[in-house]
Amino acid sequence: MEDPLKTWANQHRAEFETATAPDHLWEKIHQGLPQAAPVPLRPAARKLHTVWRVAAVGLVLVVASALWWGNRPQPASHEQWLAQYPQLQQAEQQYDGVIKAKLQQVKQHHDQRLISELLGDIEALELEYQGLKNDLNDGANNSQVVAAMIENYRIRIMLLEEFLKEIDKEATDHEKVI
Amino acid sequence: METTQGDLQRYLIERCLAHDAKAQYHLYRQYADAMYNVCLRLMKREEDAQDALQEAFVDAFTKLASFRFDAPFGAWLKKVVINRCINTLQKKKLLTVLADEAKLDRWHEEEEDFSYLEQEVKHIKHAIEKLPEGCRVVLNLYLFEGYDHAEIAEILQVTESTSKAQYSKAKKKLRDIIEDQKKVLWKIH
Repeated sequence: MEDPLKTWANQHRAEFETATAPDHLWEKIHQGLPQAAPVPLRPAARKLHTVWRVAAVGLVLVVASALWWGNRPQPASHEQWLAQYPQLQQAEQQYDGVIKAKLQQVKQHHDQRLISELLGDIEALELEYQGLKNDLNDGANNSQVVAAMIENYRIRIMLLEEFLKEIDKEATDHEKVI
Repeated sequence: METTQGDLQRYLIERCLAHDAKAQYHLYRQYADAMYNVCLRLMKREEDAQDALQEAFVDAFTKLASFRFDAPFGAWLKKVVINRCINTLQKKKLLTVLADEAKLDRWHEEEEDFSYLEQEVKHIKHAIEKLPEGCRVVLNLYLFEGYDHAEIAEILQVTESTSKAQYSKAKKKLRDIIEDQKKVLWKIH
C-alpha cells in the first residue's frame, strides 16, 4: 500500500539535504586517526610533474636565449602585437577553451589536495606565459617567443591530459583486477 | 565514467587502508556533506551532529578493513554514521524506542489523514524535529535513509513490529504537531 508520507519525502528529498559539513571537522578527524609515513598517492603523476618541470625550465632557458638574441623594435600595445601574430592569436582562441574544459574535468574530482600540485604547475606555466607576453614588447626575438608561448600552451594541455589519462588508467587497471 | 569513479573510489579506499592522509581527505570530502545531513536529521543539534560526524569518520577509517567491497561504500559508511548517532543518543538516554509494544499497537488503528502534507516543507521539517526521539529516529531512518522496518529493527535492536508501530506513532504525532502549529498561526493572525 502506498504511503503518502514516504512519497512526499521522496519528492522533497533535496530540501532535506541542504547542510554542508563545516571545514574544521577534517582536522579533528585527521588527528584522531593512526598516522603513517606519507605515501605518494600517485607516484607516476609526481614523476610526470617532475618531467614537465624540467621541460618548463628548458623553456625558460630557450626564452632567455631568445631575449639575448633579439633586437627588433616592438609594437606599442598588446592588441597591436597580438594582431601581428595571427598564429598566437589562433592558438589563444583554440587552446584557452581546451584548457578550461580539461580543468573542469580535473576539478570534477572535488579534491583540491589531490589536484593542487597539478594546478600549481598549471599556474606556474600561466605566469610564465604572461612573462613571455611581456617579453614580446621588450625587444626579444619574437618568432622564438611566440613559438615558446604556443609550446607553453601545449605543455599545459599535455599536463592536464596526462593527469586525466592516468586517472583513467588507474581505474582500468583496477577494473582488470576486479 | 561511473566505472571509473567506482574504481577510483576502490583505489582511494585501498590507499586509506595504508593510512594515506590525502586519500582519507578525498574520501571524507566525497561523503562529508551527505553524512552530515544524516547526522543532523538524527541528532538535531548542530554541535551534536558535528561531534557524531567526526566520531563516525574516525570509526569508519579505523575499521575500514572490514569493508569488503560487496556493497556500495556510501551505504557502508552511512551505517557506520547511523550507528554512531544511535549510540550517542542511547548513551544520552534520549532514545526510547524500546517501548511497550502493547501500548504501541493502538497507533496502528489510527485513521490516517495526510492533508498536513500540503503545508510548506519547512513547517513539516520543523514538526519532524519536535517528535519524541524514538519515533523521530525511526521516521527518519524509514523516510530519508532508505531502510525498511526489518533493517531499522536490526539497527535499533528492536522488533520489526516495534519499528512499524513507532513509525505509525510518528505519523500521528506529526499530524498533531502540525495541527497545533496551524492553530498558533491562526491565533497570531
